[in-house]
Amino acid sequence: MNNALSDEVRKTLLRAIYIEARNGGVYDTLAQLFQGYDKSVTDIFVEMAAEERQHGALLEKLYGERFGPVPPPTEEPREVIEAPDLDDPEAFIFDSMTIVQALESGLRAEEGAREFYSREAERTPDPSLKRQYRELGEFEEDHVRRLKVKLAEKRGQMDSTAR
Amino acid sequence: MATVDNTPHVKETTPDFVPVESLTKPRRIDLFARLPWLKRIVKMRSFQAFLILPNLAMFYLFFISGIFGTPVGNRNIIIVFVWILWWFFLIAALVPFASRVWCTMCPLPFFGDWLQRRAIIRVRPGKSAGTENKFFGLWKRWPKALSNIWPQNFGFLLLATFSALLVTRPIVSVIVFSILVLVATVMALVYRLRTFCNYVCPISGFLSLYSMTSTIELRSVDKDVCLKCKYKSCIRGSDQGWACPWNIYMGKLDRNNYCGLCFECVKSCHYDNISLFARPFATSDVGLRGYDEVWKASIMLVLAFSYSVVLLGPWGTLKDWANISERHQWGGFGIYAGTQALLALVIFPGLYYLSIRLAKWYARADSIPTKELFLKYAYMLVPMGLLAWIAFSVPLIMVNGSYIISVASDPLGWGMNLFHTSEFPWIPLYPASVPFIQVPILLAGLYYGLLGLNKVGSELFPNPRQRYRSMAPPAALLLGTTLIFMKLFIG
Repeated sequence: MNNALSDEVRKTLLRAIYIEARNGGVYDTLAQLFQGYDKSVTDIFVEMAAEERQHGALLEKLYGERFGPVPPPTEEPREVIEAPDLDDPEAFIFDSMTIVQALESGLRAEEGAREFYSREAERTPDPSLKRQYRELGEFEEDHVRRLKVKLAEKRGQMDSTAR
Repeated sequence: MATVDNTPHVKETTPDFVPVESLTKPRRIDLFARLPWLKRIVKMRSFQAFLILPNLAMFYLFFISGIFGTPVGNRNIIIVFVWILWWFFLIAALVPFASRVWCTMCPLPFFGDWLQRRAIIRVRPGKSAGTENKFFGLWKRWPKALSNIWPQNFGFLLLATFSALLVTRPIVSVIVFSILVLVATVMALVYRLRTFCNYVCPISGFLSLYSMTSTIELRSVDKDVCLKCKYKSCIRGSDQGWACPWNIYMGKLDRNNYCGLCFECVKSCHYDNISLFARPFATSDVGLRGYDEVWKASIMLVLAFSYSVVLLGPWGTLKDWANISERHQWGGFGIYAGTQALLALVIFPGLYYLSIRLAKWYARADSIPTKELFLKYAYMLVPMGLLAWIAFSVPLIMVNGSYIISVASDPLGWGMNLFHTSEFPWIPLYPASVPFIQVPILLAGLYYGLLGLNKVGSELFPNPRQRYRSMAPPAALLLGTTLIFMKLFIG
């Protein structure tokens, strides 16, 4: 692998680490927002924040093995990949957020990330970068699978956002 | 011209979620980009206080006048300025062209905000649950069962039923406004943020509905920035701005209904990503999201009709029944109030429901749930209702507007002559031309109602034939409503 390519692989992994860290922060914020509302929603966001940090730690370990210590971020990641969000801007007014919607929001983010990495893996001609993207895609696939299991448990019990 | 292209953002939604964001939206103009001075003004911490404090002083004067001034309504400033001037300005200018800007300057929640924040201008960073600001009071969550606008619906209907008292007796106006200020203050001490404005204030209810038509909107500039934002300071607040008093998240905001234009999010956003946009009238926010909002639309439309019948129509008996303050015909008043409530809560929504069932049958739209069609097509009632209210209010200002000039000189009706206009005679302004103004306004309501119907319909039914069939019954109801109003106004 030449130096330029190695750097590309390193940057890709680094970007994934920063994104996991940012998303952990977003889930923390969402959990704090729901304080005093539905506790199950707060709990699920806390859980998802912890998972993001766990994913980040795994990726950091991988990075450390290949490239050494992870440098501190110099700027926030610009990519939208895997960003969870509140779908309903009026969820707090109508107190309508449910645990299912919280999980759906997380699932959408993870699915987005999986699709992004799989698309990048298809696009790049370089085998090592391709392998790196595939690895990250599989990583996200695992998250998607676990969220789907959780969602299946909760679905059917909850109503929708429409009043 | 700085424009932002609102490319439709299609997202996966749960079946009942009205996907307003996925509807094609017209182009809009970023006002903060074009008018940087405007942004500088709203970013000032003292901006809202500058608007509220003079308004509060006026409000105090109205209270003094209501208590100590003449009991004759058309000689007292609280009646003439609030129920003629303010009402007309609010419904005909502020709501259609400036959304909920009245809420920016409304004095009713001032004391509650003050006690809750213990500040008028400064921001207090801290950690009250869910926010990055320090608030005072019990900070309780409003009951989930009441987290809707049904209380506003019933509150407004009740006030409207007794409107003859409210708009003719100064002391009644004082009592009602005092109760509203008191309730707003107590609620701010017990519950989070602007609970009073969100769920109880009867004025907020109709502003919420009709602000959908407004030609301005406060929105995030780039939704991707909000998606990546881990601070969410628009709703949580920061050391630069208070947490959104209305409890809305700007990152996905797609309609005006619950944005009180306090501009705190403009101040608190870490990424400077909130702006004020100009947009076309009544064609952007076209989604009602709950039965409470549909019933609000029905109540408002029926009240515009009812007021037009009673105040502008030729039926003396009806006027006597409604005018409980002078005639004291309690039996007749009961019939009037009962019929009005029945029309607003049962008959008109029933007719609308019938039109939706017919629409489903005629368009053979079995795959679309009745509830979805009922909620989505109800937007047609919003521009129609607003313009019917404006049409109704035109004769109020044209016929009674001269009272404003005389009362300005003698606000308490004590014989003062501050501006030498207290003897200004009552001169109706071109009364014969009133119907010629009302009819085009009503026709505009019909046009925008049909436009909204077509817009929602085009998202639901890609097949034009099926769409037009689905639109026919609700459009007929809208046309029928317009013709009834016209008959009332033209005579």
